[in-house]
Amino acid sequence: MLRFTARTHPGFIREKNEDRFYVPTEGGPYIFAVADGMGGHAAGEVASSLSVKTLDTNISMVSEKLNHSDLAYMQNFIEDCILEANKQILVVQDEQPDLKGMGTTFTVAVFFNNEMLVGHIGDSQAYIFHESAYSQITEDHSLVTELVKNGEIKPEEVYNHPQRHLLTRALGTAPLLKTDFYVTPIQPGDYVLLCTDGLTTMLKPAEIQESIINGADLETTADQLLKKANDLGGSDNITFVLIHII
Amino acid sequence: MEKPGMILGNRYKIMENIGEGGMARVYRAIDTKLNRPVAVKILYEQFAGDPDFLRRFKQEAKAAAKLSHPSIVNVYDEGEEENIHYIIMEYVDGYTLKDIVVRDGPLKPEEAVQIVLQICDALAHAHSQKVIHRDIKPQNIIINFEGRVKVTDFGIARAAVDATITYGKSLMGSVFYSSPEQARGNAADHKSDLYSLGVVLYEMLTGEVPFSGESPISIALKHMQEEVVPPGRLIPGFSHTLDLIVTRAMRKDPALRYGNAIEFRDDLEGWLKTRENGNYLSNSLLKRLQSYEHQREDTDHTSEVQGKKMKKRSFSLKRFVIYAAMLTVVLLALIVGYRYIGNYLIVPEVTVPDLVGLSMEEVEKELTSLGLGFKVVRSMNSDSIPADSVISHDPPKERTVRKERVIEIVLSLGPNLAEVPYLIGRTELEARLMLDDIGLEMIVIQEYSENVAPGYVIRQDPGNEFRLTKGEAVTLIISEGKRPFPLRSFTGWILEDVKEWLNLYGLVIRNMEDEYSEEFGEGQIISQHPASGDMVQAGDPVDLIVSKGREPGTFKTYPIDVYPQVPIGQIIKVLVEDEEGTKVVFEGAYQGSVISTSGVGSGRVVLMELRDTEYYIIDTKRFP
Repeated sequence: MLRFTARTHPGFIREKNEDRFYVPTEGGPYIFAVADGMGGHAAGEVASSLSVKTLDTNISMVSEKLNHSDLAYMQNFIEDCILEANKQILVVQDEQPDLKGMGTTFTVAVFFNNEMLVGHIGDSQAYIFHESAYSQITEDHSLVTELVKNGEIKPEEVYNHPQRHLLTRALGTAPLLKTDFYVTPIQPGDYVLLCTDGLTTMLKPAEIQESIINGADLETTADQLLKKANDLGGSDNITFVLIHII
Repeated sequence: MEKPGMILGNRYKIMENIGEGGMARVYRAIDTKLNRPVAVKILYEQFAGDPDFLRRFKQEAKAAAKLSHPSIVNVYDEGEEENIHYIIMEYVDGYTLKDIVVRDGPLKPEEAVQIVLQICDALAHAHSQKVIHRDIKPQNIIINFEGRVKVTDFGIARAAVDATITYGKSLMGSVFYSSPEQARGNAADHKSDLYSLGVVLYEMLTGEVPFSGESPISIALKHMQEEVVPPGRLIPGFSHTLDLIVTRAMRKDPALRYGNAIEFRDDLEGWLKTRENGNYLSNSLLKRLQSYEHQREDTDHTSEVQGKKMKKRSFSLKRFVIYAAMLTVVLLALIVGYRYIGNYLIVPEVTVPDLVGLSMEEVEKELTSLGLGFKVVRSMNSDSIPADSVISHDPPKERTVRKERVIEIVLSLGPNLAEVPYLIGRTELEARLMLDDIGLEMIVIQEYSENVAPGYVIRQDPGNEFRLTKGEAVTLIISEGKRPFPLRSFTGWILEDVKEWLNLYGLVIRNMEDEYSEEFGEGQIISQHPASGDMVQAGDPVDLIVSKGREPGTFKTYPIDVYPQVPIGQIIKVLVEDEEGTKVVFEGAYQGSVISTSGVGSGRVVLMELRDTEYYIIDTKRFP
């Protein structure tokens, strides 16, 4: 069993909200996602909503048949959704030249009894929070992450790096895309957070953990997280899905 | 959107599209007022909506418009009209350097150098006006039909970089020509332009960019980390001097590059002169190049051979100092000894104080007040006593000695420090041996890596040249190979698609077997190993069983119903003769109902009835 809530907010600097999220419909399978669009003008939100819409359509189309307890099956399903969304974004770019260069991140999580499957492209993130520890499940597909991994810059330099927005992988940028998949064990009491970088550039994971541990309930915690990120500047769109495993 | 035939600013008539850039479309146009051709650069719609971006774009355009040089494409005007933002520039009829290199491959060194000379002139002028290009690449260098080189798009790159900050994410673009500092995200300066120009020259000379790779990331990292292979190593008989010039322009450390475009230009010009006069190298050039080499030797600490040389030199210097000190001590002893013997019987006694841990200043003060002398007989490392303080002395404390006795002192050099070596790219074993050798420990952290092979050091903390006390540890992050992931299912996929997918994920096909299949058509995957959901790592093999369609010679089975036209109770026999032979499907008294059977491929059904003791054929039917 799990409980969840989600928030999305344009922040205080950006004119538009180019983030999108997906949460299950009543009785639907436990699939969650966030997407952070990129590209000038309205292009970013076109790409992010296309990807979430594709996921939604595919889930409702096969909802009955969806073999929700089979991890391998769900992995195929998620990857097929991502590839289909990618293709659609490319087609739209072809048809509308002013949307050229749009793309989106996509991070999706599927929950099973004792484990969770995360599919991931871009620099949105999935975290798991336990009582006393947390870890980032996904690895960002960004230039700065590579620079840190290769020792060229220090982890703390990431936040102010002028090229922190440069992605190395995103939906809508190549005909075939590699999706990173992670399988993570979960147990009652854990919290899982899917979020766009608008949240994590404002709040460090340790601060998020503190809010979660001290939060009265899921809704209050979510409100607090959003408020804190905005109070600290809200320099980007902020979107997250918070899931509590019970 | 703009269209050919449109007139901008009541003056510029758009003719035809001549190119697309990262931020703008380029058109040939006619300036109807001056009746001359111009180029119009029109900003993409998605940028036109952002006032911040437009402000920066205009600012850069204005800075570029200040520049006036025969090798810089002139910016004449900028304006906007119905949300179309444009820049009017000099129209250059010619080819970009990219076109030329793609078409002809490497250029003759003399040609390449003559081109770069003109670019150097352009950069020298721009840099003197405090304009940095930031995006020198062959696509931005046009050569017109008179052989005049023209550099375009000064400063535009900056507006584009700022745009990604305004707009949030963007996909990392090509970085074939970016300097290490730009790739790392630091600010670009005039030396970054020189680096990029070095790369352009390199490409002209060899036909290839110095660093290429699968992704922009891997190229960027090579710019930061990998030494460039000098053109001379790729091209037999290549000029050594030109090799030095190219590699100097492309040094990773901006401080080791040419100081400015004019220095770069002078060296190239010097080299060119030697070409015209045979192979004679001008003295001044030769000298300067040699001095570059020296400069490199003096600053390049990573060179092992050089490190040894330096050590030897400082070692022999130390020895000289020791000899000199010893000689002085002997001379002093001779002089002092003479006086000492003379006064031996009449000097009073004092107790030696505890000097351990005291600085030399304190020692001097203390001993002088007691009338004792001192000398440093040895210096050695100590972890507990700070540098320049006393480790021990002889005679030791509380010993009674005569006044004027010389106390021998062992002085601390401080903790025994070891310089951390550069371990990135070494194997775990090599790193362990190197650290053992200098008395350092190591802590290993395993990490997945897409670029570094398993067992090799990805990064280290602290970095090289950092000094640690012996026994302290260096943390090494060691690759445990690529991150494992669950394999997906390919059942029903077309083989071509699977190959593309496997290629993307870095998996390789090991065995591929063909099998007949009723279910899957030719070329479709029947099954796989590892199975869907099994964990795999990039580099792992995958076995596939591919359908080759239905087996020829396998026959379809047809249902056959027999309705014997005989009375109930009549003894009958039904035979099926098909591809598998003849079989009896019914024998006995007819019950009046249909007899259902089947036949394989083709053949016939035979119905017989018993008359007395023998069966007689009464009906046959072919199938299918």
